[in-house]
Amino acid sequence: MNIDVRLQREALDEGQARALVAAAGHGAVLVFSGVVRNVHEGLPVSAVDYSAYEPLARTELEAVAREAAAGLEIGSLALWHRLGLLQVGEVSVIVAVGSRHRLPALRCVERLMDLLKRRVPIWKQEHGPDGVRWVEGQLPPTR
Amino acid sequence: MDARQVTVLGFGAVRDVLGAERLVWALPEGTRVQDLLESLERTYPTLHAHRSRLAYAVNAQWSNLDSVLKDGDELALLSPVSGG
Repeated sequence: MNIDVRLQREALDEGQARALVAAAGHGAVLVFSGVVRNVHEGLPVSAVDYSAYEPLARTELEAVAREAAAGLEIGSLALWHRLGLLQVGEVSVIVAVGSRHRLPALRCVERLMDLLKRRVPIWKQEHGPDGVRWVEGQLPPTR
Repeated sequence: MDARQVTVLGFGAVRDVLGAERLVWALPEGTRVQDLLESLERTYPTLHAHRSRLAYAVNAQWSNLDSVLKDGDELALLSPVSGG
């Protein structure tokens, strides 16, 4: 399986991710994009600042990609996450999967996003009319 | 007492508690992560409120409160993550 993991400040390109995982033998090409939303828990959001502990985040992105694909027939997988200040509507994360059939690809994307949100040391700080606030999700499991 | 230096990184809400993403802290040999936190709390008392909601990494590897820190180590204090 080919895995392409990126953590970058430049805009993410869905078409580039799709092209990376497409292949003649892949009957399913699935591209999931996470996008900055204009509201969170009822509060307006104008932008989100993403930060990471980069060396560990890269290691964990690679690990969660492999775990999500384990036992599934996945041919190619791209997992790209953006850092920096993103405006509403900008893409913060892309998971692109190429596989022979659709069900493994759908399952892989679902697993991968769950693992990413639990484990990968990336944080978002929301900006809104009332100022900035950290979003606290899950505490990574103790090792 | 032999002074050692550890770089402390704070991420998420802990970054605001420390007032910086990175600071250098001197501690004696044999200091564990737990000891360093107690030392930090004397300077940054609001850190205590975050203690039950922190994960730790030493030199970009997941770690825990009992890990012993060496001179030059990098300790990351990680708030609950929220990527995606």
